[in-house]
Amino acid sequence: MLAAAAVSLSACATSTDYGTRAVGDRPMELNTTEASMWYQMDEAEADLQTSGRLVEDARLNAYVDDLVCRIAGEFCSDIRVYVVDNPGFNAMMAPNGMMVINTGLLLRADSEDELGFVIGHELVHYIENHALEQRAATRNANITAAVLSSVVSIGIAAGTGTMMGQGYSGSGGSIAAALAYGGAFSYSREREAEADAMGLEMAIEQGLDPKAGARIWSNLLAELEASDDNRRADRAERSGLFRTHPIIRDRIDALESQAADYPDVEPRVEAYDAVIAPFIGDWLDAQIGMRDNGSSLYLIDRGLEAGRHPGIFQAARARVLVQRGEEGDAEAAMDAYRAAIAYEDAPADAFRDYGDLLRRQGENAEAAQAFTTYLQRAPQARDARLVERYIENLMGETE
Amino acid sequence: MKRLLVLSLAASTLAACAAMPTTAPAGVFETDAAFSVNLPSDWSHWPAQANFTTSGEYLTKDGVLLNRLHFLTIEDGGTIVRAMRNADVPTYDASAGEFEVIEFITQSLEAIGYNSVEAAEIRPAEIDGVEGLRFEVSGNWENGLNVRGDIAAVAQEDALSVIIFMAPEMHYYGALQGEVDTIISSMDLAAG
Repeated sequence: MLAAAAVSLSACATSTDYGTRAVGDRPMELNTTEASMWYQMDEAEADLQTSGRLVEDARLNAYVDDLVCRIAGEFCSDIRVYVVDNPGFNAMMAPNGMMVINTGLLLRADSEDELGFVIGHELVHYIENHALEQRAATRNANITAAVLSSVVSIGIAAGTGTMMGQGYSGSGGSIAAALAYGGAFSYSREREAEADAMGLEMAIEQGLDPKAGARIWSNLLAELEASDDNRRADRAERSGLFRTHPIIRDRIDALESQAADYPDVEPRVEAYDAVIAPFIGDWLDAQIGMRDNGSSLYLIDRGLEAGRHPGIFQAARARVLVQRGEEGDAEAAMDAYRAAIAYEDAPADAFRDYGDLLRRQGENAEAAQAFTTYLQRAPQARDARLVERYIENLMGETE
Repeated sequence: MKRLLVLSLAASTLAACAAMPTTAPAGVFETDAAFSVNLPSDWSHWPAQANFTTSGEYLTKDGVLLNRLHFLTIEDGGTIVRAMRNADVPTYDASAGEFEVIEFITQSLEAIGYNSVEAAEIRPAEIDGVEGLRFEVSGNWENGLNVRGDIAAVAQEDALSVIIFMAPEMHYYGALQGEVDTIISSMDLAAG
């Protein structure tokens, strides 16, 4: 019986090896799986282009495009890069050449080298046809699960004398499906590990820091561990049959071991920071809006430790503390605002939010002063009329 | 046969309960929220049960994707977004100040499919004798369409009463803005 099943499976299974892509490859046969995936991705790309979610800053896009092209080499002409306004840590490469980079990734990368590693990782998915291979692996898993379910059911039925495994076919089928899909997920984990290793090589070839891959994953691991969201925190060390990605700790170990074969390279921090600096405040606001205070505080403290943009990071810290609202947070937020406004780069909003905190604590004169400074710094503020009303009321109460 | 009978009865019951849009005629409109408004002309009423993404009810002239007036009163800890289980969505905190209320509303709009929502023309406003807030918003719907909106919010007794008007910037916003302004100005908080 099992032999028959094996023959059936081998007859139905599709090869999962699509080889390596050549520059300019496009599916010519319109009735193929690949053509169908390209069509769907072209549709998704057209939607993305008109979604209003793209960051259209010319300097930022030129910088990211240039980095992608350097790492992609001859594949540069195949790739279209989109920076998407999304606070999540993510990048994505579609089989039609659409690469998506979230602003949440740009916020978390500390250097051009770390961004370069992620770009290399995504390019490997493209060049090595991983999306097609994963689709074939999933299709094979569907077939395997169906055939194994029948075999297991019949086998149990034969052993117990029940009709077609009645009473057992459900559990037998589930076991078979678990085995089959577990294989597909394991395949996915192998592709991810391959993308890490080959992507790092591609980045290193362009002179980027070999340690960047392990570093960005280490920072993400620490952030997940600090997360208030149990589902995110679980991702830090989750293992099991149905994971599509390797355990982060394993990825870090593999990348550290790979980097040990190369000489150290100074990470390119300043050039990268100069490009993303105008957006850091907005990206932090979007991150805070996700309401994962533990994760946000980790990111902010890492930014403060790096010593860049202290006014922006202190103001963001204060906002998270106000949002969290645990015992002692109001005082800590007040301290963070005081620290923020002492720096030149403090955003105007920090004065307004500091004023609001003071107002609620009855510190009217100081609140009015902070609001006044806010309006001096942002005379065209969209909430100027509301703030003016606050100042009037506070001055009235002070007199 | 018995099963079929039970299923048909269940289907009939469900059909009777199905939420259908009805006409909201000109005049006083008693919302499900803690206020009423005065409508200068007829609108279509979409009850809360017909809305899958938000709490509260809508009035619309041309369909809820083309223009919608959204009425709701949110208690402390409540949401504008109709949240799936375990989903993390913006929550109203009765101790929130005006700036946080604005953020709560704009973030809620982003959670239901609007992108890059920005508040503008933020101003204090007296709503039925109570100090509240009015502001405009702009952004994009998830298909990229530019949208605009007018919002009124007033906090009373640990609850936030809100009217949110949203429409595509092209034609629909301008066509209804005057009437919407009249409706917002007619908010009667005691009548809720």
